Amino acid sequence: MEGREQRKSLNSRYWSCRLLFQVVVILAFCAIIGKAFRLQVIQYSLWVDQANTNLNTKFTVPAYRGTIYDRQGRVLSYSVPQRSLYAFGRRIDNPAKTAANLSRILDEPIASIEKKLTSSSHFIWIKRQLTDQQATEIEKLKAPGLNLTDEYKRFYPYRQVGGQVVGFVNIDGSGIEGIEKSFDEVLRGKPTPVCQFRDGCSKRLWLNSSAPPEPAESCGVRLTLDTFIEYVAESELEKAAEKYRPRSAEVVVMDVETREVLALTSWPFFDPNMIPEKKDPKQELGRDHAISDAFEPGSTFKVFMMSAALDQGLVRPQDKIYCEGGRCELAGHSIKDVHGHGWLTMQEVIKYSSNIGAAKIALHMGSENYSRYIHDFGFGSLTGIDLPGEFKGLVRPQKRWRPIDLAVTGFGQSIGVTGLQLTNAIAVIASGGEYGPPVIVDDLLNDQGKSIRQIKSSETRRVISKRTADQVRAMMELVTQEGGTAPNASPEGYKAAGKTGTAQVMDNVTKRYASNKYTSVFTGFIPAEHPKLVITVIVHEPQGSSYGGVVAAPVFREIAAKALPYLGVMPSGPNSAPGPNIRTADASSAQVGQTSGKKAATAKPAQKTAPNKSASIKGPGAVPIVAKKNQPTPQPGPRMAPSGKYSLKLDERGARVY
Amino acid sequence: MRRAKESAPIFSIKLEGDPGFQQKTPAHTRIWAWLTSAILLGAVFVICAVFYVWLYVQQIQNGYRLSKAYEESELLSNVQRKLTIEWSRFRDPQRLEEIGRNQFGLAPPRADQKVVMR
Repeated sequence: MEGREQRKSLNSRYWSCRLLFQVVVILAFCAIIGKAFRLQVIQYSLWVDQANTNLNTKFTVPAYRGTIYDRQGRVLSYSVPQRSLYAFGRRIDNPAKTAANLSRILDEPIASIEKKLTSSSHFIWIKRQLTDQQATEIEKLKAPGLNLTDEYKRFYPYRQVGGQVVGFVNIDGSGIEGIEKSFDEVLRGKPTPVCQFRDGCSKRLWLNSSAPPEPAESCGVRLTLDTFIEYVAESELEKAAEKYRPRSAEVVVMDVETREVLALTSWPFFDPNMIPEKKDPKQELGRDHAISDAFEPGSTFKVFMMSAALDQGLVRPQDKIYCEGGRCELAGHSIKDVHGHGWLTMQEVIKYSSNIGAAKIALHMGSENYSRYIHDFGFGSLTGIDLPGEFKGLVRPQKRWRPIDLAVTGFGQSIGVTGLQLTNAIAVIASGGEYGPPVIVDDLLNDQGKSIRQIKSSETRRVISKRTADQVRAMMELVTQEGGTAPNASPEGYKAAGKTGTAQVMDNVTKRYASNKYTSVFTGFIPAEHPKLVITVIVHEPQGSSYGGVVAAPVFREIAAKALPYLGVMPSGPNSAPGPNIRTADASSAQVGQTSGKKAATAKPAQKTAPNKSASIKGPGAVPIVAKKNQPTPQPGPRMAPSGKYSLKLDERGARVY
Repeated sequence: MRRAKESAPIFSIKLEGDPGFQQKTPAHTRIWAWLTSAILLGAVFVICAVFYVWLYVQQIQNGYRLSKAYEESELLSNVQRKLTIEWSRFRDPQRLEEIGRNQFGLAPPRADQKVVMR
């Protein structure tokens, strides 16, 4: 009642004001609600987009490029963030002053920096992948328009060790050479784009419900390479290079059993940390000559020729061949030996490295058979190693072989092989005749360093019989013994088996063999009895000396001497190299010595009077001076008459005479 | 007794003639009651609003903290990667050989200094 009376007492002005106020408030609320409706409903997406544009910022969570390890888990290649400097051209206040400051810090000419700063481009790279010190000094400048961002630089902590195998990446992180290139897809990290809020001061804040993703590393690669053996190989090759000043040189070290490449290097070496910004197209940066360049293997190829001949039963180790005193005409071409020899056993052909003997055996074998074995040993085709730029070598199609091609291929001319092919083929002999592809990558690893995929291939095929391999191995042992072409190849306490090669080099201009350019090669395995390592040393165009036994064999010895104890293969005792393993002739074979000591011309009459014409002996120039396969073996009989003119019986084992 | 309790209405209105009927509460009391309720409601609303704002501020602050922690972890990860490289460089056989030769005067052992452990 009281309230009603009070209300009545209010005047009409109050009521009109109150009504007006209510209307205003209601209208205001309506306006607010209307505006809110417009913003929240009608223009919702527009304003959300705008808000996202203003507040949200996209950044990428880095994914580091995968690490490359050696077989012992040593880091060979690793990505580390480095700061890069860029500029917003239009925001630079004083380009001249900024360029002067940057020039002092970056140690670059002022003019080039100023040119960049005054460029019309909006975004300009000033310098990428700065050092930490440079980045700190640039931060202190606080120059408007200059900004730093993180990029990822590839570091190779072992520098040149394994540089050609590991390869390198370009400034954008793409693999250019080596494993970096062949495993680029595996190693390359994929950065994850993430949205994040950013306030008005460009400070980031994380408002997402999930935790921010952590930077991850992509898959890594573990190589079969051993950094220590690689270093030993490089340091020994460097010493040889200093001594003989060659054009280039290569070393391949391989595990006989697994065909894992333990070292693969070419001199001059290559440090992947030192990539020039502008690559000279003529410069072969990081090129691995041991897999990408072919050379004529010279006498080292005789072991494959001998393997093929022995495996087919065309010759036996104790069989003898006449080597024409060191010079003869074959297939219309003159073939020479460094030292003249008369009659040599097959073992001696390898031991003394007789070109004439090798050519004769090759001619006896025939191109079809020989070519098949050459391909079976892996020559003329890619080994399939996981490295880019492999060359398959140069093997002429068998149908195009002329007689002279067949003859000279017997001692490693007219054929081109890579260092890796040669090493792998020697591993066939060392392992008992089985071919297996060479391996450089052991497995792929996850970011925790655990193996996720094995790369090794267990595919093998038999090339020669175990017996043949043992026979050739015994012959190769003779090479490193006293009287062989590489008596200094065995390190103290070990017995090595190998073969030297001194191949003439074809002159690119004259297309003839240069008289003063050679490729010195030594390839072999060690220990000879239970081979652990195959080592091939190739020195191209050495100065001072050219013989494989002088230039390359010592490198083999030094590498083996350091690598074998490291691998747990201890020396078996002092190096007691036995003398040449030549059987002593009995009284009847003494006449052979007289005959073999004569020149071919004087031996010719012996053929005419030879009993049963069982031996075929022809003078110089005749092709081939080898026995036919179906020729009867001279039968052992009573002692011949002392005339000695046709007594060509060699020894009690009934060896054949060619 | 139980039946009487069960048949009793749940709600009952007391009429004016009913002896239990009480006189209507005075207006000022009701205003105070209303005001008290309004103040309480307002207080609850304000507390909720403050709590909401506090939560939001906390969210923002935590967002900054998370972002900062993330940047720090990234920085530490970078440092760790640089240290890994440094460590690897220390193990470089070439460098070790240089240090051995130049700083400590080491040299490869002679043949008579080698002892093969079998």
